[in-house]
Amino acid sequence: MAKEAKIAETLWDHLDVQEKDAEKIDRPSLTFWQDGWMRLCRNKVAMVSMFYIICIALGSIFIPFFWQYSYEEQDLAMANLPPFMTTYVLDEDTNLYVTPQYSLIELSSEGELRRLVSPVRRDMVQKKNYYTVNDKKVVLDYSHYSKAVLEFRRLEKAAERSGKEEVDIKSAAFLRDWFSNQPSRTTISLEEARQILEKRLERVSLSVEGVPLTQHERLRNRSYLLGTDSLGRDLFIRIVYGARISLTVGVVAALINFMVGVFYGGIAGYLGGRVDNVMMRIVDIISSIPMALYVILIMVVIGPGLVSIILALGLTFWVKMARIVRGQVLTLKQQEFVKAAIVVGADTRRIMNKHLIPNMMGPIMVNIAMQIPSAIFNEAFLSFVGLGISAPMASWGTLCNDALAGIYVYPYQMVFPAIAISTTIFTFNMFSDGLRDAFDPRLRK
Amino acid sequence: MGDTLLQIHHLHTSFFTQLGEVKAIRDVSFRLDKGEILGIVGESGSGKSVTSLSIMKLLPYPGKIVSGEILLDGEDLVSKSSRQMRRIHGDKIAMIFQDPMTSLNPLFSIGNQIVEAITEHQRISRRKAVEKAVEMLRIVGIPSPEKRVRSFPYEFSGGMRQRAMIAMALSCEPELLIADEPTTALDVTIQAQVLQLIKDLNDSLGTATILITHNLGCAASTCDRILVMYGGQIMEEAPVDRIFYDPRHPYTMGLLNSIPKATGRAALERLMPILGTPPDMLRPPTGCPFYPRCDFAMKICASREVPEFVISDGHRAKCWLCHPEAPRIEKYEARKGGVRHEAAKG
Amino acid sequence: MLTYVIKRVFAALMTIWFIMTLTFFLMNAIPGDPFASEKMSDPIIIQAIKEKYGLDKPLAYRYFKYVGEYLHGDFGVSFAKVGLSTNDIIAAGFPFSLRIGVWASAMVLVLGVFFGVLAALRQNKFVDRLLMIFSTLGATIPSFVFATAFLLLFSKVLGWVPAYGVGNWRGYIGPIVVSALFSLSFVVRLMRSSMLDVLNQDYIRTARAKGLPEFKVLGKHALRNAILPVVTYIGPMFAALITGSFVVEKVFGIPGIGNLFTGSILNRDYTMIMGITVFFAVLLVLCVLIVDILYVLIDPRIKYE
Repeated sequence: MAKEAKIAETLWDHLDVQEKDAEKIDRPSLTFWQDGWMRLCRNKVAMVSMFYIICIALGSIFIPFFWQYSYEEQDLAMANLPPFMTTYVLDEDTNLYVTPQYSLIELSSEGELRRLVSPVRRDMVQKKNYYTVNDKKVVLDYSHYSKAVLEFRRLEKAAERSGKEEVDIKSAAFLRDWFSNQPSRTTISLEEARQILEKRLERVSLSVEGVPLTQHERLRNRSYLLGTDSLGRDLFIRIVYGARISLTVGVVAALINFMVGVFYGGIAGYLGGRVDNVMMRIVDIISSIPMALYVILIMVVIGPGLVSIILALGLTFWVKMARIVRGQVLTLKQQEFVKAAIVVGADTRRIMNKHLIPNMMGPIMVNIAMQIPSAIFNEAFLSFVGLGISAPMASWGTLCNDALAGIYVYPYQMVFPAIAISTTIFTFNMFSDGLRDAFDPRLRK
Repeated sequence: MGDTLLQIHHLHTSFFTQLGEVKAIRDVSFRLDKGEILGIVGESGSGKSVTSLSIMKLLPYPGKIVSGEILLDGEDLVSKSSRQMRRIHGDKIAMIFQDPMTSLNPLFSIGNQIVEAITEHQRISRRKAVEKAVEMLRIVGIPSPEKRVRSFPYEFSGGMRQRAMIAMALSCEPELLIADEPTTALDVTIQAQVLQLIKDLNDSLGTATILITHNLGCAASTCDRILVMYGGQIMEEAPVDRIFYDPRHPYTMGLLNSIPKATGRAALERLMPILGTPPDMLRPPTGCPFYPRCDFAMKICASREVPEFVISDGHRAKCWLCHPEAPRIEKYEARKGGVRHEAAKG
Repeated sequence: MLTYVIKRVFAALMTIWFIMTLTFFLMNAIPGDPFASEKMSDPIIIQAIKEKYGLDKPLAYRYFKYVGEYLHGDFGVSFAKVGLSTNDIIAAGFPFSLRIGVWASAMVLVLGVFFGVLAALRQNKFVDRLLMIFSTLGATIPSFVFATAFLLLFSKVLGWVPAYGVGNWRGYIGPIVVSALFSLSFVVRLMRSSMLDVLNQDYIRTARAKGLPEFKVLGKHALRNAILPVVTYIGPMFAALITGSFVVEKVFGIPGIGNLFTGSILNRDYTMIMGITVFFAVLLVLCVLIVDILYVLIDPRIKYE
């Protein structure tokens, strides 16, 4: 394969190659922390999560200072009011809201709550309440619904006896009214009738001097941002307060976990051998007892409250941290650099501080970050169950517990705390995932 | 010299990574005859494993064959679908890998895994397949094969596991066996046994073999011909004795020189490694891939792609030194602390 | 094989005994009488009750009596629900939790393995990312949030399930789904990472090099190896699911034993607490034992370690 082109003489000269270049390393080296932090910053999800957490933390600290309500202020007249209300327009600057207990709340046309209107007269037989609002006589009629219920029961019994699923529309007044604009229909199924009764029928009707109020307006509750609970307390500030408590519990419990776990695990790992075996057996036994029992014990001894919850959580979950630390210490002990340090003559404390601990910080940090949402989760769980914080302090768990009873009628009381818990725990987890990816790359998915 | 079994023409394989295209194999061509044992020798990163994986079309993501032909018995494998390749795998071409411990599924018995290979490609009853498996184990030298066929991989020693892998690979009587560093993970004494086994099986069964290794010594004892690869290209190809007694490429010479010698005056001399590190295949150097580490590098080596030069029948080298106008060099002499390079313009 | 089983059974019995003892001493370490909350303040009555329940006898005596009774399967009599034996109460509540637990476990196993494998096979593609987000949600959001959300959506808004209780078979759907969620999320992640690990192993490459069809490579070689960590997890998970979750039972109105346990803790009903704890422990140990044996059947290496 001779080349057509002539090859210049000089090309045959010896080439002086810089050997050094071949072995040069290009990139500047970063410390462990710089490298990890850079990686963390690149992780958008983790950054957003961190931002969210900081917002919640700051909010929980500062909002109570300038908010109009405190978490324990009660106003029984204003109990169980949702954040969005469907109201009747009375006149140009007054609206009326009917509660599920058939009481009347007066509000401004903007949505500010004015007062609970006490009835001038209650007629239990006719099922009507009479009120005076702004010099107008307002009549609240809830008889319609009860009559419909009775009629439906009659229809049910009749269907049972005859065995038929279909009922005559003409035989019940409420059905007649409902289908008044559909003269062609004569029968419907029992199930459909039930649906109409329970879901579609208006429970009440308001009228002023005989004229029914028909104009509806959906107003935002401007007095209470997220509504009130069963004792008339502002739900929003209670959630904010709950954030304080949940975050405090989370962080402090995680710190206790950290300290106890690192101490115990470090010793077990460092001493190794039989001591390690015995310590791990103890740990296994301790962790086989359900957490609830520990909580009870601590609560009985110390009494219920924030401190006992934190202690209980801190003392039950340190096991995982201890295991991780012990594992890390065992591995690191075998590493060459530790042996080198020993050979050079470093004493135990120096070895611990300068060599072992900085290398363990990665998984430890990640574990702390994961313990916080776990502690919040468990606190919410315990409070929900009834083993946690007691009234009037509000943690998210107790808020959910309080809301459970009325959940069908007042779902918002559960929804907002639930959202608060879910988003907080979720973002914390996303953040700790990001931490793990950044500082402990071996575990990367 | 039988008929040609395998022909590779101008094969290019690359890995398309996030950082760019890593050109693992650049313009590789060679031939394998029936019943031959061909050795492919090179460092890590030279492209030798990628060559074998390309032939089998088992390249891991993100590897792809970019261009070229792989002709097995005249049929081009590059264009075949994975379904078609599956019929070839195990049946026409079999492959064994470096670490026999991890290459066998720890949860199934050896027998199960061999029988699985047999029944996949042959219409044969299970009982007969088990008999065949036992027979294969016997052939590779595993004692009490009837009992061992039910054993699990962890019950075997390293050498025996590799033998079992070979048994599994040859159970369907393939035309070609590719052995990718089969002895690297084994003790030295076991290495010799396994290599001897491969050679014996090649004699008795006539299976053509490609033996991939970084150890020139292993290749020397077992192979008929040797390919030396570097930087994704074939640097030199020759029958085994030519490589040792008349190497023409500085890399081959370097490899030969870096073998520690145990006897003679040479045993007293310094070890002669080849200084430097393999090239970055993301940005391969122009010209010859070896020039940054070559003691005889010339200006032309850095600037122009090297063509192949035929030295003699069956011996070719990709080095500008083989050009008729290149300077003659003295026999490559090793000196304490340096290399004497005599260049006389010829 | 046999020695392995015997060793595990023995270890299981020791664990149960240990938990019993520990629980007993913990309960007795709690200051205050179980009757402190009762309205009876007349010391004579309290003394009479103590005598009846043998609470005035020394600790050691009570301990051995307790162990003896338990060995006979008699878990004592409830303090709070006076007159009823613990056994009866547990027997009344367990079937509900059991039913829910079994169905939930089946759901976790089938769906978890399926989605985990799916996510691994479509790594980093849309399906995988979606599954990972869902599994994170399922693992981090507390169960009572799910339970109440489920109720609100399916009962209040859609009306497909009853609001309370299990009179109608539809009442089981909510508890089963919500109970399964956490474990399901965990299993999907576990299966996915395990499968990804396995798919990178050399023996998978060998299987392909033998010319095996892809479904065999995945279904026979990959799956069996990948499922091992899941098998280990299933044991305690099953035990936890069949013993019921207090939250789920409270929100959906199930009269199961999860309810019972926390209720008895709140009421300081000590015999109930001990009885249920031992019951739970026995279940857990049994499940772990079964799973350990199952594991050995799949992975023969364990026996030799």
